[in-house]
Amino acid sequence: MTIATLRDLRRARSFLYEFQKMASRTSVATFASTTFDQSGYPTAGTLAGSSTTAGVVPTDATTGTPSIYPEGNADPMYLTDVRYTSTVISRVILFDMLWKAGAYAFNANTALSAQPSYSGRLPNTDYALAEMWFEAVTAFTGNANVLLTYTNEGGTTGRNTTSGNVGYAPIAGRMYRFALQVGDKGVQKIDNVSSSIATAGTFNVLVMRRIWQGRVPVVNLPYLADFYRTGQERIFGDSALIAVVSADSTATGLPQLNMRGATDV
Amino acid sequence: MTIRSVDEFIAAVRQSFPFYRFGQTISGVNLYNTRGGQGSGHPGSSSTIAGGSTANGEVPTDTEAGVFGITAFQSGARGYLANVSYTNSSVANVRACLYDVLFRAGSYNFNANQTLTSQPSFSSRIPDGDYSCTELFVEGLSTGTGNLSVAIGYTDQDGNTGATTGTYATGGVTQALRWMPIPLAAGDSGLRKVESVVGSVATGGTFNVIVARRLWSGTVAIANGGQYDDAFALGFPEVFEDSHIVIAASGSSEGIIECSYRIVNG
Repeated sequence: MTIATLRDLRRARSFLYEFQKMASRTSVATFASTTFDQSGYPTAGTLAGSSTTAGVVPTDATTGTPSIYPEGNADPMYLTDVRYTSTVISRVILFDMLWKAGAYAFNANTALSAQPSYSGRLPNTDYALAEMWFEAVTAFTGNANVLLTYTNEGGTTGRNTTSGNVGYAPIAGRMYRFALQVGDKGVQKIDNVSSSIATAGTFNVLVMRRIWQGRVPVVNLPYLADFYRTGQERIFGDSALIAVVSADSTATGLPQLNMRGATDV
Repeated sequence: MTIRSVDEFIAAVRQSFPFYRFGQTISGVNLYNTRGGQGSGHPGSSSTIAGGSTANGEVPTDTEAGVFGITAFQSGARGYLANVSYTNSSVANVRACLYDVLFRAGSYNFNANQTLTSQPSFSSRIPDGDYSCTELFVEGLSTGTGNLSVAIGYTDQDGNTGATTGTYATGGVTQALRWMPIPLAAGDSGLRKVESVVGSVATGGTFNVIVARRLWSGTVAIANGGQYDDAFALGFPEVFEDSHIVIAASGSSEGIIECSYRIVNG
């Protein structure tokens, strides 16, 4: 059943999910960096992707993501509140990692096939929610110039991301978002990954859905995003939740998120 | 139906829109429409920014390139902007607004003198028939030569014909997607229809005339900061399933705009 009233929400069964990272990574001020492979809770995941030819659909069983309870629950679950803080002034963004491919070499040119679908992790199968991201696994030498060919939200193939050359050499963990081709509104799957200019470095390509984001304006103070602010974003029973940090300075710090999900069980 | 209670809000159908834009030139106090032009992002920008009609105008919808498509609402439901999360990752003091663009006419030359007829109505995109929420802009399409003045005739919010802005000196040259607000006649608070467009003073440049309804505005005070407004902070502005929602931003430079928003209907 769907939670449809305040009474339902109050009576709903709640589950707590936690991110408590115990290691900080060097980042670039105001730009996104992953915490996926940093120690803490959940335990550090393996940053490098395990498939370059098809990619994988990570789940809550993937090391580095919290387990979503209750197991096997088919009822919708919603993010109802997030209590958060960090040791650095930053933005913290919670994503459901829908698809991951890598790790690609700096000079990759790989056509993908048999890509697993992530449509079941998109509310209303709305592909406009799918964001494409670059994630540096190892530091680059030379500018990253990564171009993706993809199938857009309407199933049209042969679409290309724009602005491949970002004009800098990403450090390990740095992330940036790809831009869609003119006129497109979403992505069903990625069909080709190519990279040039750089002479060293490896990277992943991710497709992610944004769940929530918050700002830590003063370090170590607690903040609360209630269910109005979280928008009760949908979480699936196999969502692979990860936290991305955009710090004002040059370290991701130690973000801490205590998230509550509610399901009508 | 109208969402009239917290219960109905919780039960409402949600749609999320993860807007993202970079690489577009913005400069100064005027807003710039981020729908098209040289900017990139998600959704992909639009290659067509000029209006498709100078004689009648057109009512933009969510099917156009550069804006998100809105899934049709439930039968009889009304939609509301429920949540906006806005940040700029690299530049401070960037103001952004969400607008529903209701009407667009163009593209006009700098010395246009056009009377419009058979203008399509945007009444279906006006909540409760209240046109006082509408704003009038000139949207630059190409870099002009000399500051543009315009005189726009219109039918006001109450349906009175023959209103005019008078010849208004915008104080600026047209630039691609730059929005220059045009003040209405004294006593008017909105408009139902654009009746005529006259350009003068400038010696180059093209532009659209835009009628838009503001849904939200926010500011990033420091780079990587943000504004996070829930439904109560937003005041439940109504949106429609064919709303043409654009993000217009102003500031010293654009940076990387991220503006995720959510629409509920019930």
